[in-house]
Amino acid sequence: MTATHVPPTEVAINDAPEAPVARPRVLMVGTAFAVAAMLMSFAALIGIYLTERSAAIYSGTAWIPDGVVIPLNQPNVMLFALLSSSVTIQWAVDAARRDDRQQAYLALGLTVVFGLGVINMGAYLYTVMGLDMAVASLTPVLIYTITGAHLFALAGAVVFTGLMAFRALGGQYTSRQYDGLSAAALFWHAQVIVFVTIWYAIYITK
Amino acid sequence: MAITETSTTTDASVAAEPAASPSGFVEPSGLGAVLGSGDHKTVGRLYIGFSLAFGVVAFALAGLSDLQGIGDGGTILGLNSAFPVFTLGQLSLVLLFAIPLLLGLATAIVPLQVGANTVAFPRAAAGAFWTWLVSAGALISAYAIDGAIGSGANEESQQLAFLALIGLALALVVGSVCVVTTVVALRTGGMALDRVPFFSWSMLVAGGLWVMTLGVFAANVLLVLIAVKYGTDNKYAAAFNQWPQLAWLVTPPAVFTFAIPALGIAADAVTTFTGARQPRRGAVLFAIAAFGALSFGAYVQPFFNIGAQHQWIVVGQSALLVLPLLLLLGGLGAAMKAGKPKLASPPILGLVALLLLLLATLLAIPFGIQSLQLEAPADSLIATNQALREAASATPPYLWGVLGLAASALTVAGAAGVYLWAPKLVGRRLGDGLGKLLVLILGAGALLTSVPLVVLGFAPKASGLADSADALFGAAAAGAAVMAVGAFVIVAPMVAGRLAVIAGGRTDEPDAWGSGQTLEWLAGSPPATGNFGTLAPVASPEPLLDLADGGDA
Repeated sequence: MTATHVPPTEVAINDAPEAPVARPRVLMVGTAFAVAAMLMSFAALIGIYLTERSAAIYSGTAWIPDGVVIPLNQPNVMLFALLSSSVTIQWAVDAARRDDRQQAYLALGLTVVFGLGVINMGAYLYTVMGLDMAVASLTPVLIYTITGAHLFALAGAVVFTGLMAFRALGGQYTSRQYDGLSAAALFWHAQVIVFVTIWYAIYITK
Repeated sequence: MAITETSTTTDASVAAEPAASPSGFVEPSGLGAVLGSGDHKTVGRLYIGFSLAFGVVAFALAGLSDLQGIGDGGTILGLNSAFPVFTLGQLSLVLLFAIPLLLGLATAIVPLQVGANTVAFPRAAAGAFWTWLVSAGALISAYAIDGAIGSGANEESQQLAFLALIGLALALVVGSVCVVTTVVALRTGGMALDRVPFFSWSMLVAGGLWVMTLGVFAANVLLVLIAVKYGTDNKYAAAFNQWPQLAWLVTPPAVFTFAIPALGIAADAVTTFTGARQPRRGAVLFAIAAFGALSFGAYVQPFFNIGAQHQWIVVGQSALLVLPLLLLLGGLGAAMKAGKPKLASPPILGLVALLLLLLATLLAIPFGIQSLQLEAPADSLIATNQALREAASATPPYLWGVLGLAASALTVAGAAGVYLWAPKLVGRRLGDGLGKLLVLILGAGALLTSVPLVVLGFAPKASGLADSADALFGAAAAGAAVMAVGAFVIVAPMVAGRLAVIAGGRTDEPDAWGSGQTLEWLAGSPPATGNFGTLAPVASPEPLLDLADGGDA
């Protein structure tokens, strides 16, 4: 019988415990399902909006009540702000992946500012479009429900992103683990998708 | 190699002596440990206990609703109470009973089945339970102070009812997200998705569909709430339109979405008691997934899309829904043929649940066929009965029968789950004789509460049936009462057994039935905090059979 020489490093590698199973990240998976629920909620509301609008137009009734003007300036600004915020939050994820913490903080800060700006602009839009809930029409109920729910969800996204930003400031996210930032980005992108749909279905087509 | 590499202790030993963490923090015990617990077994037990208690109430309300059909409808409840009892009964069956019962079983059992030490987001799961419970209380309170949906005179109470419904939907969404995330992201090593136990697989399918369905329902409720609170003279806020906007949740096909876990429970219960590996595992997994895909019905909303339930795609979907159930029954038959099935209560309850569900899906098919005129009760029935006229305006008696049957099937499936996994939920098995008695109680109650209403649905086509309406409504009410008793018979021994175990009574072995195949039967009865030690990778869907065969699990 002959002894075989095994280098010490190889022994160590062979004796090392098995690598943990690669599983999808918990927070990302949970956020993805929550996003699915949220998207379905908006799909239902926007579906109802389009159905009612179509029925009104088919029957020859004006969909937007007389005297109401829904301007495009604010929705357009909100759209571009949200599209920009999609870029900045992805920038934050990429910066965390590269361990560039300064850029991550900057990008997260910009994202939150964009979000707060959109909420502010949305509230201002309510004051200028003069759509009165006291009008006996389905239009104000649907428009305020859909856009209000979106602003509420966006506020949730701002809080989520802000929380992840604080965690990043605490040094929790590095190139090895940036699950929270990716989850916040996923939730944020979903808000942008919802707004793009609202922008076209409500503000553009009216 | 053993499948676990560290030992576990039982709940009883943990409870006997409050544990101190290295930081000196003393774990709460007694009621504090229940109210503040993020442990998935505790949260699951709470869901199951409260949902079964609500189940007693829900079936009692359904029975009272059936009594409205007798005479002029105001004899028992009075006309003012009839419609609130009807809507609360229907909502309770789904949102306070069926979904939380199955979600509770899943919260307690799924992490054990997939070899996880906890449910994903344990604090969110606990928060979801308490939100559900508070919202359930708010809904019942709102109804008690004249805030019923569609008929409440007190606007603020009614708004509370809508807020409670949104709270219920969101809580159940969060609870579902925790369970499905556990299946996707916390499975132990070696457990590929096709090795996941049947109940966990069914919860993955169900949870994914529940979050979407309940998301749509929450949107519907929000729209009505905004219309009622802020709107002026619009159709969404009108009292007679409120219930029709929400009724789709308790009618086919959406109601079958909530039945998906019943398939998983039945498959696990039957397979466990055969002692053999499931020879048609792929077919069973496919059947559960196909049933889920075909049961999605959040898009079938007749209020917004008149006649939606008669569209060919919906009728076809209802018809196809039968096929996965037949495939599943075939798979379970193959397992019984391959092994030596034992006649214990869990597999019998599981099979009865599947048969009831099969009957419910079969009965849902004719409803879509417009020429049968099942969507409205016979004129002679509602001419002198205002209560029935109001209740049937959005949900005709035929569908009360289908919902009753589906809810009964879920009750039987829930009983199968509770009896099968009692060693994990309670710490020891419940009496098998009582379980077999439950088969009779629940089976009889299910048929009695549904078949008379289904028969009555044909009254517009068969005029003689209307003459027997009082007897048929009375029989359905009696069936609902039997189901209420059945729900009580499920929860009472469970609570008694748990209290006995906490008081130091006997507990079972980890593999309490002696024929366990999946990982939950490796954990203690009841499982310790943290469930398992470190698990070795599993090599098949039945790791305990691998161990018994002498191989690596």
